[in-house]
Amino acid sequence: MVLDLTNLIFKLQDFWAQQGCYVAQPYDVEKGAGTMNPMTFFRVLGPEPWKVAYVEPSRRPQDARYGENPNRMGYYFQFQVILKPVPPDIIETYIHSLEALGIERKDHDIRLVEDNWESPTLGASGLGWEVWLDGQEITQFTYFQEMGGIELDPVSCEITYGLERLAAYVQKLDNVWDLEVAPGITYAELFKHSEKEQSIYGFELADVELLRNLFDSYEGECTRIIEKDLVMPAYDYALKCSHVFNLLDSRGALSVAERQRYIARVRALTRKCAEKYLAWRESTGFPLLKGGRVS
Amino acid sequence: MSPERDEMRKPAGQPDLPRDLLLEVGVEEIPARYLPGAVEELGERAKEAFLTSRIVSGTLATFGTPRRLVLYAYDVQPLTRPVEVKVRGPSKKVAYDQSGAPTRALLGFCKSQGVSPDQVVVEADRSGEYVYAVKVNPGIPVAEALRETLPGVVLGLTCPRPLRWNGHRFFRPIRWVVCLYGEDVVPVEIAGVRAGRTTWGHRTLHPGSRDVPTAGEYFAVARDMGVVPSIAERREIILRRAREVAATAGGHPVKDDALLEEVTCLSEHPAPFLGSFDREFLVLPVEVLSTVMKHHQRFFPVEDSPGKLLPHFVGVRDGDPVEGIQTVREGNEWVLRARLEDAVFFYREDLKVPLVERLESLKGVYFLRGAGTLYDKTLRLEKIVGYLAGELKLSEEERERANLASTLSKCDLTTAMVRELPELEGVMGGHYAESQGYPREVCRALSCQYLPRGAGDPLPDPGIPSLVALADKLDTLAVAFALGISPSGSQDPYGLRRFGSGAVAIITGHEMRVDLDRALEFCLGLAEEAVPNPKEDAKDELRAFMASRFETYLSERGFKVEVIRTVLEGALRDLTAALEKAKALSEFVTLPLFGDLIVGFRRSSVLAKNARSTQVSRDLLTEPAEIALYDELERKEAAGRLLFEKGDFRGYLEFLASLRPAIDKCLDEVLIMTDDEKLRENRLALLNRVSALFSLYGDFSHVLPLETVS
Repeated sequence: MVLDLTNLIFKLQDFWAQQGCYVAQPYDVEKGAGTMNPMTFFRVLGPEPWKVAYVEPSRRPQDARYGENPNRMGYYFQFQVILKPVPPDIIETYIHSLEALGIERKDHDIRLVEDNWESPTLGASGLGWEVWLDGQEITQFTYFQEMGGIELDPVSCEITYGLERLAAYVQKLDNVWDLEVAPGITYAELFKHSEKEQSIYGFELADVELLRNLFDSYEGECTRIIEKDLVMPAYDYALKCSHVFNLLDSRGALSVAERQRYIARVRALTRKCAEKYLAWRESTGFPLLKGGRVS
Repeated sequence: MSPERDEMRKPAGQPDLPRDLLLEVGVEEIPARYLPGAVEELGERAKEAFLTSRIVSGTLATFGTPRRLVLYAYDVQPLTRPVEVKVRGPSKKVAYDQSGAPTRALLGFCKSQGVSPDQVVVEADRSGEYVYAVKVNPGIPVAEALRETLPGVVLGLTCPRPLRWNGHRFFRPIRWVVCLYGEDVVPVEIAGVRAGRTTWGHRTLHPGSRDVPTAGEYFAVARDMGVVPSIAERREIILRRAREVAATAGGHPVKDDALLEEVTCLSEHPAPFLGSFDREFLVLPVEVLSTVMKHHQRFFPVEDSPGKLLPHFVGVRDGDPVEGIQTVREGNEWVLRARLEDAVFFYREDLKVPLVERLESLKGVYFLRGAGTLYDKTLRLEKIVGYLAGELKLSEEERERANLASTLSKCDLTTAMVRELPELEGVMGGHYAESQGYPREVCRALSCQYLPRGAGDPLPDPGIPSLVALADKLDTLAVAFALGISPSGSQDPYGLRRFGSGAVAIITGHEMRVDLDRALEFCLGLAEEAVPNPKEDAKDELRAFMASRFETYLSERGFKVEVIRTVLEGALRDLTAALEKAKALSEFVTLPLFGDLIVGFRRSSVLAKNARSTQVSRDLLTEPAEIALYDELERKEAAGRLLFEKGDFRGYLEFLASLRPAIDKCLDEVLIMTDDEKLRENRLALLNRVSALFSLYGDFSHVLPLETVS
């Protein structure tokens, strides 16, 4: 029986729930990666333990290909796991998660190939690997070292499964558009048309002046609100800035120097949010520690 | 069993014999590029640390896989090397009474040190004579010394990008440590992990753990657990099996040492297997197929004996050579097919647009920050290539082709293929130009323009390809320096040293007669127009930079620093000649004649410094010896200079050496600094004329130290 996308997600959620993770839901602001969900961005800060797993839709207008590329899209889904502190047998646990999908290790080649990660807009960096399954990259595994410009201690690990690729591999397909998402429905039927529309918009039609103004407005609102210590609403605006920046970038509207300046502006916002969040947690005595210590 | 119990266990009644030591540090996958260095350094650091800690052992050996670093020491002595220590006691005066008998002070000291009074010695230093107790520290149990030493040995390994976790830093987190001295656990603690005897098997072949009974049994246990600890052994397995499986398809794996090293360090139990792809993909250029296979999938392409690619590859699985190999093969073929289908799509799309039509699109691609676009760069390249073509006196037809090549040179950067596989820049331009019917020389110029990328890389073809490749490098350097970007120390973010060395290699390798000094000035002129606020002293910096690149080029070829310095002044005006001069001089310094040259140079140049000209008046020469030197010059100088101009540098050096007897005689017999001003000036001018012949070649003062060698 084919493991469709729906059941693949169920199995991953089930597996990580058994590891004690809170299975969260996607966050309702556009973002380029699951890392930007507050469940990751904020919760990896500070000493409080944290285990979470969730599906996150990612929007990357630059990666869009009008729905014509067999495995590259501007809108797709990640399955994200965060663990803090990191259990010493984490990689073994990760391999168990593949086994939960029916991927028996003896029948495959599982490899961890160096791949380091950074997100300049989040002021974040980490070291880790891409996980190769029979030569196909199916997961990013990262030990965060820094988030929002703040050095992390203890560090968290982030496991990001590329859901479409993983599902295509499991279903033995050359093309993610042919994925079965539920009985009788393919990925193409749900998303191909919107992929094309978003590509046309992002590459050809997005109103550059409007986007520039939106960026300025969102940035202003974020700055105004963060001064009042309202971290969550401020962070929403920082995320909006990041998405507007991505659109400007895919539209080809930014020179190299300008691009760097926009990145620096977003980083300044996310950094401020991270600092305020951490200060708030500290003022409440890091309640998730439950009186214990994280080693 | 607990490590504590192990420590207690000791074979009773037996002498303590040396035993082997095993240290295995279990790590999450160490990046492949760091593994060979880490394994080597582990051995060096251990050796050094053993010496400092007086741990006595036989041979040390190190091994490593992505998941473990292993140190094995044979015949480690149970105690560290005894050491003699001297403890200072009372002064001699206090220690002995007048009869020379020990005082109570000395006896007390001896008692406290546990030595008898006849075991002390008296030694003097600046503060006087003192008594010293000489004791031999018998050495400590080696386990104790190892506990102190080993953590530093491991954690001190060079990690270019360490991962930080729980307050530790290493390539990746350390998850287990095995440390055995013979059969006993040495409870060393590394990065918060306490050593035991439990090792972990291969992730897929033998997931799980096992206890290692003794150090000596480690390798058997590792093997049982599906692990080949030795890098060399894994390399051999890959080479042998890759050849075997490729042979079944009638070919052999393409040789690639860097790839071999990488796949060796990406596996604990390598299992090469043969995979195939559809023959139709062979329409793609070889470079595209190879790049996708090697760089993206870590496959070895397979070729037949004439060197033609076959529709096969050798992948290296980390695991069992048989079980599940069909699934692994299919998976890898599936990934490769998806990538090659992409590539075919890109290739066909790219071919639809003639290269020259892409020129406009270069206006949207930025060159170095602040220096305009690649379109601007193309315009500069046309000018630089035109300038160089003029210098090299190319024909009108050649100039046109060179110009065409520079116009097209950057057009492939906006093709889909190069965006996807940036390492194929230039090469793809060459292919697209070929399919559009451009002359072969133009296509080659596009393919070769980035060569050489580093030492050991081939040079671009001679002629137009080299011209374009040189122009590209000079322009990048000029623009970078005009922007104020220049390498310093270990900082060279734009790889400018590579560009500089590449330019030197092209000029000297193809014996191009280009005045680099003037060419740099030309390029800098264009760069200064392209850059807002060009840096003021860019010209001097660029010139010094190129001279130092040439210096490096020569020293990498084994020239002595003294020889290099001699020919360096003015070398940029003709690198090829400077190289030839260095070669001739290098041979010459080993000959007896070299002594004559040096003496002649030294004696003539000392006083020549005071001269105001080289104009010698025959009528003012009075002494026979100075007349003889003058006549010698009249007879030989023109012919000598001709040798130099023809590039017969060996001949010229012999000519210089042949002047020595006349120089000697003149300086021995003539008072140069005579009171008669006219005579004096004339004699100085004569010496100066001689000296100028030497400085025509270079500054021989740098090779003075080599004289004793000859």
